[in-house]
Amino acid sequence: MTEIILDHVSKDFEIDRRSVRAIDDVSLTFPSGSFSALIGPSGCGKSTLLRLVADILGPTSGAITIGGKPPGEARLRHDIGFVFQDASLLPWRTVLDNVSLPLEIAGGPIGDGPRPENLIRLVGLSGFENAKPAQLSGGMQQRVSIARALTLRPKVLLLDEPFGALDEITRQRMNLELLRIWQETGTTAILVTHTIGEAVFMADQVHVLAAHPGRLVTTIEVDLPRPRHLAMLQTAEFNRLENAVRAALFGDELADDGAAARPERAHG
Amino acid sequence: MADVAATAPNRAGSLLRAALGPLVFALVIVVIWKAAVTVFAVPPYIMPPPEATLAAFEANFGKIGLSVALTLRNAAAGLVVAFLVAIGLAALFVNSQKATHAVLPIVIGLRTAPVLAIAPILIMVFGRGIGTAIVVVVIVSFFPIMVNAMKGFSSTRKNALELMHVLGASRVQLFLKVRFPFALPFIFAGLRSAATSAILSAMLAEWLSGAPGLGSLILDAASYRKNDLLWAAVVVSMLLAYLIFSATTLVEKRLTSWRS
Repeated sequence: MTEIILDHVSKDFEIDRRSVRAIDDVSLTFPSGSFSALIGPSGCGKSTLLRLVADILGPTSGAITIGGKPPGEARLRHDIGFVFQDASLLPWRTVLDNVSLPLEIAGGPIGDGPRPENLIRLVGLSGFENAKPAQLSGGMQQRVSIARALTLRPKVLLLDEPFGALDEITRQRMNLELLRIWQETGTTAILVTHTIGEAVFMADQVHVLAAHPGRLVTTIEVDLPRPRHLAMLQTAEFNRLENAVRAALFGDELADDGAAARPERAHG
Repeated sequence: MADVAATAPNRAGSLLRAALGPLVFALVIVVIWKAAVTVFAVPPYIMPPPEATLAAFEANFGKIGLSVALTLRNAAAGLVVAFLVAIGLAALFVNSQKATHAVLPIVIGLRTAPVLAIAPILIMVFGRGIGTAIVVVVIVSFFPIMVNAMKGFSSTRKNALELMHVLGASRVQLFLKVRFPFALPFIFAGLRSAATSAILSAMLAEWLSGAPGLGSLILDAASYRKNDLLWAAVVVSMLLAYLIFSATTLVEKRLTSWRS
């Protein structure tokens, strides 16, 4: 079981010799095998939160466990797959060599881990094994980085705005594929996003964060059935959930908008 | 497979085109040289005409060839050592602040010490052969490689570092698989300037120690007033520096082709 638990986690950064609180007392549970989304304005610490889970950063206070163990242990057991905002491929390596990189680091496959060739097929890039990253489009590069993140059969998949740089249409397609891959691999996935529709479409729970300092506002349960389809985007239920996330993100501002708009109209 | 066959003659053609410019320029210089000697009636003991220089080159082909081989060997050996020292120091400095504070001042001191002044010590310690030559080449040419390598090693993209951390990579794996390849364009920038100065400093070492080579040949020709041989050797040393520069650029293009 790879439940991820954050217990009263805070994180301070030192900026110009002043301590700045990036994350303030966040407690969260990501159930094993679930798909969760973290959404919030810039400065809410959602990427920092993901890096705390990945043991790239350490919390200032509080505790994080992955399957009952500290993140550092999970990392060294190769239980964590991380997909960055940009694909972060090594430009001198071919697609196949990029996907094989984790195997070189770990010194071989973990258990009966998937073969790189099969992962490349899984993300729909068969025939591009020997291409260099510069020859691929942004969406294809991000597919490679997803395949790379799955090479060591991680139990946890952390996604930091993986499709943020892609156009809307490509992003929807990639999201559908990501859901398919997630269901096939059965990982516990956490997606950082700043798109409301994406969060609702992908996740079982959407955790809404606020900025300065980064803190949890609320969690919205998404009870849309799986597998998800594009047609769901147009349902009333989807709209209701989107509005719930929007209300949590903007809070009182939504109510104030009407008041703010009126004098504007008077000026015009 | 088909485009491999298509690019082969293309590559020969582009190589010819690349060589055309320098050849034309060299021809222009030879013409100016000949004209200057003729018009100003320069006596041959100051500057011999190009044809006399060419004749001296042909007459002393074996001697010049041997000297080139010796100087080239010393320069290459020195450059290899300089490369290893520079990369090692750069890796150390990028990894450890303490080591930087302790070692960097000494390294800079060594760099600024005039080779001419410390030559007697070098010759006493390393002898008159290849040892002194290597040390002089290293002192003169490791610095640009090191400075550029340090810049390269610390310019690795943050995401690549985080990726290797999540994968649980060791420091050695991080260095070999990410930091070093990312730094290659920087390292080659340093290597290119170091390679040309390596020839010069190998000749300098010969002047200081009297070991045989292109530098000693120039010095001997000057002291025996064999001016046409002197000029032939000087032209050959310039060509040698140019060829080494081109070879380094060629290797750089092959190894960092991923940048384009």
